[in-house]
Amino acid sequence: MAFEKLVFYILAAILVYAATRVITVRNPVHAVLHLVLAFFTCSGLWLLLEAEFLAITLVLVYVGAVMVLFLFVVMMLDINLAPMKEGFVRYLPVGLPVALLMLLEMYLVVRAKYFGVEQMPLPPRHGADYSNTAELGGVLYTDYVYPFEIAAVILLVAIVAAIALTMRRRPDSKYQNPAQQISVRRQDRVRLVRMEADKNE
Amino acid sequence: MITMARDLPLLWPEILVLLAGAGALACEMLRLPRTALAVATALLLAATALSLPLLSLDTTVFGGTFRVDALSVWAKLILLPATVLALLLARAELAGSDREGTVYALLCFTSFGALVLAGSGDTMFLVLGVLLSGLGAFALVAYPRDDAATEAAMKFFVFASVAGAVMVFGLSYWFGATGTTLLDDLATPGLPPAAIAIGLAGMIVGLGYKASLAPFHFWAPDAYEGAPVSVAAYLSVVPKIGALFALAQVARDLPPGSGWSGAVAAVAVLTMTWGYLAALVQDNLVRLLAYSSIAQAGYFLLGIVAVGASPLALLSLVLFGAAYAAMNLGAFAIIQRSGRTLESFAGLGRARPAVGVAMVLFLLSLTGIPPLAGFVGKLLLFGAAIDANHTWLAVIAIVNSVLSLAVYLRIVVALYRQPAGAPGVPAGGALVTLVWVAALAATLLIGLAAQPLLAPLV
Repeated sequence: MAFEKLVFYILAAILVYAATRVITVRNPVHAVLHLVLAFFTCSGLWLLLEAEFLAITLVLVYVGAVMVLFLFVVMMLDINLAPMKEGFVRYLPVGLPVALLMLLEMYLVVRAKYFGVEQMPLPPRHGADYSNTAELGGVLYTDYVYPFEIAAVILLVAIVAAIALTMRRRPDSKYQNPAQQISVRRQDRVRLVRMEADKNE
Repeated sequence: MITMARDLPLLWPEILVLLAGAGALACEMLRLPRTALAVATALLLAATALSLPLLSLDTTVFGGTFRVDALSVWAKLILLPATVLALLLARAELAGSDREGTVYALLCFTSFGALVLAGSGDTMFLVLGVLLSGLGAFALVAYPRDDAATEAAMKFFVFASVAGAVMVFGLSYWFGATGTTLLDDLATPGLPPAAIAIGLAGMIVGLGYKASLAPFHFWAPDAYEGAPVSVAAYLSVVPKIGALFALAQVARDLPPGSGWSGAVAAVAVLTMTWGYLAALVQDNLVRLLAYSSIAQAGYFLLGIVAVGASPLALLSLVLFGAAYAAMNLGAFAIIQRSGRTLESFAGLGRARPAVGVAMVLFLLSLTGIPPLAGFVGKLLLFGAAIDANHTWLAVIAIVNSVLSLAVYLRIVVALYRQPAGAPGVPAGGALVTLVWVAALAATLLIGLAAQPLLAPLV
């Protein structure tokens, strides 16, 4: 138990550090890399909470796909962040009350008698043979299979709609048709013309 | 415990609709648009046929989250043939355009979304249905890729995003109050009325946008005007009826004392009156029919107000749904063959008597003149509202019907006016003719076949 607590505090410290660095570093590429670190640490925390499937999904989807995409965008856009950092003092009168309000909301949720830590007992620990993935799949593919499939169809329709709107034959675009190119015959390209030799000289 | 072996066969119609969309996509991939149309039509008709045996059921699948009841099955029987007619209209209008098969696929997927809405017994399905029936619709509106279509799709998209977000926000209150996403649990006594009211408001915004109820209808005239006529015809029928039936599904579970029927009645009055008043001044027929379809959505609300209070409510919703689908698709089909403006209709009734008579019948049915389908549907809706002690609402609806006569008569007058110039009446294609003949037959048949149902009223 003590070791688990130690791991939690280490991960939590790294997470807070990484999240802070995301919004304080000047270089946007560094910010994205810190965000990757934050996601990775977060998935470690979820592993501690026995949410293995979600932890792996976070690494695969967010670290593996979304953040790499982000990195591409940031590198391609070449944003100059210096002007965006100006006006910190100017926005302070608005930002500070918002931040305080959020702090108050967090306090209300965590400290109230309905949501406090003592009101939320720890769920029972599962044995080593318990599979988080199998449990999720068991619910997702039985009780919720119909909404799950509809969600899949929605993604399909989104792709189909996007392609239908953007990928059209354009009359003005020049492209090669390989089938036509290889089936070309000599007669199509070269015309032999019989010329009378010039005899004047 | 859920038994797949029992639940999945009850979803055969939905599965076939999905296969129709996937099949059309596969044919599009092979650049076979005609085959795509044939596959989609055949599978949609098969799905309609497979819905017939489900008519006697009143049950749920997947733990109460999706309903297979009279409303949901009738939605399939109305919306799937309507989708087939819309497919034929789209073929007539968009044949030969790039990515033609994708249009058929998107129409099928959007219909699937409408069916999900009509059978939802769970807030998850409301959200998924609104999303699914919206995404494909944006692409369909923007399909011609000219400036008007892009602008229309943009307005539609922005409006839909905001309305969808408000709806999800409202539904989160229901989840907070009941602890589940099931609509059934809304009937639990002792829930905080404020949470129910906020959830209801969010849901009226979300489904109201989809069904183009006032004041969430602003996207509809612009989107219909920019879209291809066939897409406008489709949008004014299939997703709209899906959303209205979803509202009826929710109304069945709302606690009677929460005052929801008053809120829905207020929206009904606003929708009917605003729709017809705005329609009075339109010269573009697509816009005129768009406002008319907004007003007609208000009539549906008469039936929804009576849900739970009158045995006529579900019957009237189903009957008016079928009637509305037939007459509205028919009117749009004739606009597609003859032109979008009032001028293009000048003298049409003299040049083509059959088309003229058909258009007049569709318009009279939309007004609610006996013995056409619209009359039967509206009479039952009025009966349901009076049964549920909303007599004042029925009176306002009847006054609006008189107003609607002025709206629709403008088109009738144009039909038989002497054309100003040379009679340049374009000939309609065979497919469009097939659609309006089918719609006309349905309008007449529903009107005549439903007469016995009126016996208890008169």
